[in-house]
Amino acid sequence: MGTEPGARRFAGLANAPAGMVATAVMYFAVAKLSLIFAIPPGYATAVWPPSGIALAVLLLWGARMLPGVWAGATAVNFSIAHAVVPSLAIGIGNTLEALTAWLILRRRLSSPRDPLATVPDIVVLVAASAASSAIAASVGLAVLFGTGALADQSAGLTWLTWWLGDVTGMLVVAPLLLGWVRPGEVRWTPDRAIEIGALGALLLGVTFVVFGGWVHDGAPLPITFLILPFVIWTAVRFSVREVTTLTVTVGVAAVSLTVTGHGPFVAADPQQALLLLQGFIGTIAVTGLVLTVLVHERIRVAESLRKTQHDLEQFVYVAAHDLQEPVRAVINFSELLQTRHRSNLNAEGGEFLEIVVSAGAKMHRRIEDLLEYSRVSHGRLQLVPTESGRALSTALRSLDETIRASGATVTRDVMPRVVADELMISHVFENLVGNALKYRGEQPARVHISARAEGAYWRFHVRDHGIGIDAKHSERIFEMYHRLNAREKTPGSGLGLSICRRIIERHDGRIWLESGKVGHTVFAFTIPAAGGNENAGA
Amino acid sequence: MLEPETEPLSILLVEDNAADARMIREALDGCDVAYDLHVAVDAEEGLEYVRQQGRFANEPRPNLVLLDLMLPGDSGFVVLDGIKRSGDLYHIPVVVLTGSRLEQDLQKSFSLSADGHIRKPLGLAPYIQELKFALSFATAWNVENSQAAGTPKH
Repeated sequence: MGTEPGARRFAGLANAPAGMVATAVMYFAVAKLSLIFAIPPGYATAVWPPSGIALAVLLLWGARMLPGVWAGATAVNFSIAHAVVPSLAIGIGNTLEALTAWLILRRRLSSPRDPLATVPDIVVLVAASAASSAIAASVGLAVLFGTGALADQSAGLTWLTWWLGDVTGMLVVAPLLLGWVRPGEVRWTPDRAIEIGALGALLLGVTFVVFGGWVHDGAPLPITFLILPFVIWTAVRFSVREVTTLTVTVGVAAVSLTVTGHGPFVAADPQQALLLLQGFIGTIAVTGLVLTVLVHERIRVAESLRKTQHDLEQFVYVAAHDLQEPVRAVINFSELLQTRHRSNLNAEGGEFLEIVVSAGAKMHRRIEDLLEYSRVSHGRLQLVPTESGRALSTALRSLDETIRASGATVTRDVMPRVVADELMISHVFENLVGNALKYRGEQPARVHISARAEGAYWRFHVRDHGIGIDAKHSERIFEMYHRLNAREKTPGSGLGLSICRRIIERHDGRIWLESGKVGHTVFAFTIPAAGGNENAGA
Repeated sequence: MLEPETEPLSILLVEDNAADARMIREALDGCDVAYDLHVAVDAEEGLEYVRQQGRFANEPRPNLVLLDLMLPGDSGFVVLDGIKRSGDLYHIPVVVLTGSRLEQDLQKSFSLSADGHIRKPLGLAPYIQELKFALSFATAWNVENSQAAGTPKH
């Protein structure tokens, strides 16, 4: 994820003067190349890529590369103007620009090892480019004035063009180089390769339509917005590497076609064409970057959340599992103490021992429930067509003793076939019916289980005539460790309904309290129906 | 008639938890069987004991091994595997006695030819019941063994 491996790849270079030479050569070559597309040729460029190269080099290899930047910039200017002093001065302006941008970014980046990984990083990049480019533009303008190469009236516009060219150069080229030097973030599959191939082909086609030649009534149509969907597509589905490549591709096409007199940016005034190009390229560069960084931030957050959740579940399981051992010892030996040495204790000692015994039993039950919760949370689920009636029968069998002891009546409708894990669903029935038996009030419990079709789901109802649940608690009863009744009145750890909810959620269903009225308490839950089977009414 | 004069059963318990070892001793006392118990605290000691190696050279070969799974270092499965794969030792009954409730532990026990798999119960009475079941393996083996030797005892 970090730039480290990528940066290290070039580390040897950075330590040698070769790094500086490479920087200077790269700066010079790219500058000469971009001057081909200047308006008018050899003069002002819409985008000044060398400023982006200088910034990227500093971010990757550090301030040691500054002499290389200065040498490259001076050489470029000398090759244009053939004047030593002005070239040296403009070179210093360009070097100061790179240094300033680098210093700002270094202080403000969220992680210097992984520049441009967050949205604030992109904002800092934009701000640093804007601020530092003002230096180069001002120095450059002063030199032009000093040598008499510039007329008074065009000074403002020249400064603006110079400044915007450097800003766009940084915004387009620095992220491009950083994106290609650091490890890619896209996991390539054949599908992905096909996708980016299609994207590239469509993008090229649309770019040439937009900037090349869709002429209507003698004027090119202003349809530059057609590029936007491709920026979004690339940003959302791919990464910084791909989105910056898109920006450069579209930028080169737009500039070269505009320079040769094509497309919607061609205007009577070349300065205006320049500004339009700069605005357009800057906009897609920043939009693409922000969007892709945002998407990748979200992916990273989701991944770390998933990992945290997994670790937490694992922790609950291991902790509960490890607690079993000491709890077993507490229970076993307090029981032995009670059966064998009771006579050696006075009344108070006996009372204390009672407390230990019952606390041990309670702790044991809670740990069992925790393990159960952890098991239903991430145990393997076998979602296959299942007779819910059989799951219910299993549940009722294990509640048999309680049902008979309390004189309860449990009735049921014919149960449907659902897509479910039979064992898990029988847990849900056992919990819900068990609750109905537990919170029964004065009368023996009467519980009825029914089911009815509801779209692609079956909705189950477990109804009883017990003490009811206040509607205001209808959400909280499903939370972990929430119990409404006084602790001592009824046994249980309070995890039963949380376990039910977890199971039902894992079945893509829902569970809720439909009615909490005294004498009419109904729990409802849904489970996907097993396709095409209609035997519920049979 | 005289009671058969049986040697006490030699039982090896591989268990690192002192409380559980003590409880098992209590439960064995409740089983009405004469026994000698050796407690090994890890897999290595357990294997040395059954192999009668080193300081255990003069110890008897156990009639029954009770085996905890969660041990420091190697798990109990290493002991189980070591016994059941040995031509000399495989006939020694091994009953896994564990706190684990994992289905895969149970399956692994039997796939490694454990003779029994018991989840450590709560309370003395259930413990005695489970251990009587475990002891049935040892007793059955003893009878077979003594018959095979052709020396029925009176």
